[in-house]
Amino acid sequence: MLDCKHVVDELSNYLDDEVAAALRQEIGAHLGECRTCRALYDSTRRILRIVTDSRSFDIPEEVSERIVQRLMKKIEP
Amino acid sequence: MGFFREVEQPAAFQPFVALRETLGFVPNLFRAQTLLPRVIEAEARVAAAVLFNAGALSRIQKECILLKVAAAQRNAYCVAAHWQVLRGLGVPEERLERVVRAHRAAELPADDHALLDFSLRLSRHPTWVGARDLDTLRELGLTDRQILETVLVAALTEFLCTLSTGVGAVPDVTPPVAFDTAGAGDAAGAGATAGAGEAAGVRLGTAAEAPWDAPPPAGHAASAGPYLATAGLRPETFPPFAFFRERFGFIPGIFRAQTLCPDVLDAEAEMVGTVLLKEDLLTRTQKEYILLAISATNLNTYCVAVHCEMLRNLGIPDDLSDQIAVDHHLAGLSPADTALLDFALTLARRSAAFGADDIAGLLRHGFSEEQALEAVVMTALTRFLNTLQMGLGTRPDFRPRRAFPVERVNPRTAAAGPTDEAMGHLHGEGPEPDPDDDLVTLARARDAKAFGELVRRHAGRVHRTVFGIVRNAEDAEDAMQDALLRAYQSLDDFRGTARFSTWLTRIAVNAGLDKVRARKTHDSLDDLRDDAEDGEFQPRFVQAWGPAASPAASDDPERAHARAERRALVEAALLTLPLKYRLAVMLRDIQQMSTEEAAAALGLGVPTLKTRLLRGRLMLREELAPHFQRRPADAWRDGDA
Ligand SMILES: [Zn+2]
Repeated sequence: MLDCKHVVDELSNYLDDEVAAALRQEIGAHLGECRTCRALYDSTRRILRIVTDSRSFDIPEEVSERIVQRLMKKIEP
Repeated sequence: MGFFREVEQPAAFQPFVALRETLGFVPNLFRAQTLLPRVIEAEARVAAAVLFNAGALSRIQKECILLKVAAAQRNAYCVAAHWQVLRGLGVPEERLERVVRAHRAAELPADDHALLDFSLRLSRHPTWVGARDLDTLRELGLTDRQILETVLVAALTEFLCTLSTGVGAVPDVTPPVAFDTAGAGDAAGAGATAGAGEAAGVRLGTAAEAPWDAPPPAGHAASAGPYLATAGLRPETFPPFAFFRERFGFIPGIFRAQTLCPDVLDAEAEMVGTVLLKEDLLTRTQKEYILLAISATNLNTYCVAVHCEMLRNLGIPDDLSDQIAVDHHLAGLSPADTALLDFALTLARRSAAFGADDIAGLLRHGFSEEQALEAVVMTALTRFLNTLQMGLGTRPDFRPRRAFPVERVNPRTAAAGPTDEAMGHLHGEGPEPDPDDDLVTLARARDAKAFGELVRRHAGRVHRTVFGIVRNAEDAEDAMQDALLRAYQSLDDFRGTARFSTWLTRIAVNAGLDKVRARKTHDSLDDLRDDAEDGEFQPRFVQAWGPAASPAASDDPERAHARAERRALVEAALLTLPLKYRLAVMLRDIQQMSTEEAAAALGLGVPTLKTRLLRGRLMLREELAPHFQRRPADAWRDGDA
């Protein structure tokens, strides 16, 4: 019933668990049948896990402290 | 014949038997819907209850109203059919010509003139109808029951006209009027009928017969409905009301206003059950989308309010409903649902432009013929309900929706489904307490130390946000400084409707964008404003991934790279994304904000955020997959295994 396009369109919502139960079931069924969508889903899920755990653009401790000190000088009376 | 495949019905198919008895033939309009016999049954019941059953108006009066309104809609099919029916009832052709062309010149009683005027007004200028128009009818001695029947016939005509256009019904007899269909059915303003309907034998009415075509006097909006008397029917004793209460949780005012015609209510309840509530073809949500989108373009506040509420009960966030009402193209719906609404709106609003191509387009989006037919019937039903509501003047069943600031929607649960928790929050209860509340209170009292503590707590968040925008360490530090100072200075503007962290992120986004603007580099901000998505994004690198590709290899891609290397890869990939997609992914996947928080921090609607997020994630996957993907030889491409 669902076509691949529809599954890709909902992929992000599906990963975030933001689809209604009925659609969730349909997508799950599609992923069970369709290797292409399954591969896309698996890879996106894994990549996002890597991205989320990457600590990308974290602030170096010394930068953080420098900025706080400079800010406090400006706002403390 | 029509646009849809016809399916032979058994000789005993009840609606066709009844139509043959009443009309002497089965109209093509119904033959064209034999893919869905249940729908024909429901339609035939409503048509019979409104038109054929004995009531306060005569059959000829009703048919004349139908003929006149169909002619005003330039619907050749309905004009031909009901011209034929009226001839069969013994009305001479020259009188019919007058009714169609200039009913004021026809020798009709004053109250018949008035009913035709009122029906035309309801059909052509529904938003102008007010209590004043009904008073005019009552002064002529018309009863509320007669007025209700008039409203019902006008609404039924809208229904039949939409249906006949949607199914491509071929006239059963040669139409007496040739129509220049340009502009037919569109809701054009005053004088739309004048001269536009060039006829072979008969011309349509002119604007000279104008009472129906005059705008309401000032103050019209104050005339509140419902306009008509009602009889006290109760769900305990009146099954249609029990049905509405059971299925909707309440009896919509539009039905409570029709109690003078209980048999019609009975047929309407069946129609609602058959067309709206069945879920085996289109989903209920798709049907509610159609109702909402068309009602919104018809400026029907009542129907918009009711169907937003129904969508809310189906777990659709208000934000999405609002966006569909305003412009469904920006609602982030699937392409199929977007096409469905385009289809319905074309049929409802620009019927002259509607044709077989529209049906074919819907089928190309994966809809079945039955679903396309159901979409036609839903569109017709919406016009029926919209017209009915305007004629009855019912008030919204719910207090006018207050605009929920998107920040108040509880993160993560709101879009998940119709849970009590999500509903509670949508109805205005506050989200979980903000862990920053205490410090924020102190900081607002100009406690610099408290603010310093907040800054330490959120330094990472602010830094990531601005870095993702400005893309280098030096500018990031500057932008961060600006953002924090700005936040401190505008603490009084923070009302606590959003979380402090969301509010601070929004300030950081703005500070970052200001920095980029000041820099005037090639990283154009134009793409932030451009909400037209840049064509289809077709994911590649799909086939080689997945368990089936190399079952022997480690399932843990993280082992492929040292942590620092992985971080560098992710950062580089993020920085290649266009700004608007990068921001969506940054806030959602790096900052771990909820969809609602991320949308609020970017000043976007949730659907727009979701659209950008999907695109951004797919792009990011595209960028990163080669680095973490196993080659056929089960070797990591850029690292040890
Ligand atoms: Zn697929």
